[in-house]
Amino acid sequence: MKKKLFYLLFLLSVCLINIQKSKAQESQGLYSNSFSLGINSDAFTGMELGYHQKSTISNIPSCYYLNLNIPLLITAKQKKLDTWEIKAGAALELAKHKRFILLSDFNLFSIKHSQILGTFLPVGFNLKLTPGYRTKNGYIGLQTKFRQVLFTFMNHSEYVNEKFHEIYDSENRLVEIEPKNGLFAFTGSSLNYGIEGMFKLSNKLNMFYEMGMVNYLSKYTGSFDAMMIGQIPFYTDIQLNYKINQK
Amino acid sequence: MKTIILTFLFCGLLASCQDVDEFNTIVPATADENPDLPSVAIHVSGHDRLVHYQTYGNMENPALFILHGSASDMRAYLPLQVFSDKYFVVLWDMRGNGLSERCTKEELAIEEMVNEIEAMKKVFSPDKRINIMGHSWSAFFTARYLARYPDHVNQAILIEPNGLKDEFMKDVGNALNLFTERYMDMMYTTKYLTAKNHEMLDYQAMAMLSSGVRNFYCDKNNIPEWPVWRVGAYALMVWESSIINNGKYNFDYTEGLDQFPNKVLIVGTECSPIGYNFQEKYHQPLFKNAEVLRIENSGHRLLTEQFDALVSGVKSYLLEYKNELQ
Repeated sequence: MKKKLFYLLFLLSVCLINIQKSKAQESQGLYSNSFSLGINSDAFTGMELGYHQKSTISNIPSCYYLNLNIPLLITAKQKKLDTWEIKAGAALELAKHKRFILLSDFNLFSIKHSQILGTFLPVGFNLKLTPGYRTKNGYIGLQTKFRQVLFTFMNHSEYVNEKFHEIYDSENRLVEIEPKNGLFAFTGSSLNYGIEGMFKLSNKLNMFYEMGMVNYLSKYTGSFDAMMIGQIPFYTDIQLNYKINQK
Repeated sequence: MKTIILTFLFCGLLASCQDVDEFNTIVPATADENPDLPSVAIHVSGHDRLVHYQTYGNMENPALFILHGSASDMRAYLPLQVFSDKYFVVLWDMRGNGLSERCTKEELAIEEMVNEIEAMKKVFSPDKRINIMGHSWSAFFTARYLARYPDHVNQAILIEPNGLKDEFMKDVGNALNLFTERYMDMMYTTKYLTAKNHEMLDYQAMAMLSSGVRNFYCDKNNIPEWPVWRVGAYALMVWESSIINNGKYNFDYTEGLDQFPNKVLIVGTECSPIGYNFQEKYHQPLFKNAEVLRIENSGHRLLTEQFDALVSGVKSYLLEYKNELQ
């Protein structure tokens, strides 16, 4: 079932990239060659650095991007850069009718996270759809973003190993078991929904923002009752894009 | 063509991955998954569930049931087998916790946890009264058991029960330090681990044991060790949400406590917000006869912080030891 879901999602994303519905002119400012610097709500405060390259995909206005995301407070407390996320993807203006637009965004991400439970290297994708409205200086829209981890490499720590110790069977013999390291499929997914938008601050500077609620797609946890395991039901992200090579 | 080949290779990679809900993969298997574990089936809330247990001492001796607290299992309490020289000590992982079978939300209701104690009594001490010791949330269940089954219990020890009534909780405070490194790591973990099953839920909750979000300790920068096999995260979530209504505490489990005829030992520590002062102020007056034992230089994890002081104080209360001294 999980594999079918993956294949369907993969096909959907391939189809989205190949849609040739948009007869829009070259975008007037939605996408640009730019560097970005942002703050997001990852572990309360994450910092994102990125580069965006304006392009077209099958005549659809788009941009490719590469982002590096670092959780600032975790890094400050650990006093080393041991946790980060890299995202590479494309944003597209799929359709446009007068001032109404349909935006899409697809990226692959890879994370490294070292923590008390061990070291984790997940790989996955984000797929976002945003119906929006173009304003004079940007746009605003309703965002739905699906995040799926495809696989995670887990290397458990001694803290986790210890949980498997001192277990005895009914004959009072020690049960010798250890947790399994390695690749695990589909370890996480979530659905974000909220608002996003962009507005022009100056000829060189745009601000992008998004905020909303997170649904962790777990039947055991509601929106607010799993904060004890770190499930914060809100997210926010603000980015400044500095245009380069713009006339 | 390239896309198809890549998709095929990717599916092959995914097919070779392990599943987190396979037994003994990220957390130890429970008694229903591992038949080698010592377990007993009990019928509670319309379901038969396997409970992982250990017993120590002579079955002919008076039974002493020892119940673990939340986000825990019986592992930290195993040293209390020291009481097995005089008592038949029975410890178990409560349903939904430790290496006992996981169960539904309805089965974890507070009254069903009380029913679980009664079910275990039917197995291990069907014809005799039990002595019972509960810690934290289990002290809460134990108090409720005393109110419902006063003639099933000889002696009872409540180690730092949570407030038994909503208005008591105003003294506990809700101060949470969410800016600890461990808690922020837990937040970040939710980017790639989702609690889709009990295995993942309990795995993520393991980090909670050292997160320091709630300050129940003498030194919040040196949180005491707490040995656990497997956290029952869903159980804790159910219990905590059951006493909250519209964001506020709304419960009262004080009824009937004054009907228990025998002396109750309530244990409180120096450093915990539900320590000695809290127990003396709010819980001691609820019983007909209760004594509060103060454990100095300790927080809520007193079993690993001041084990000897706890054992000494409990032995001063337990009749089998008092009879020996006489």
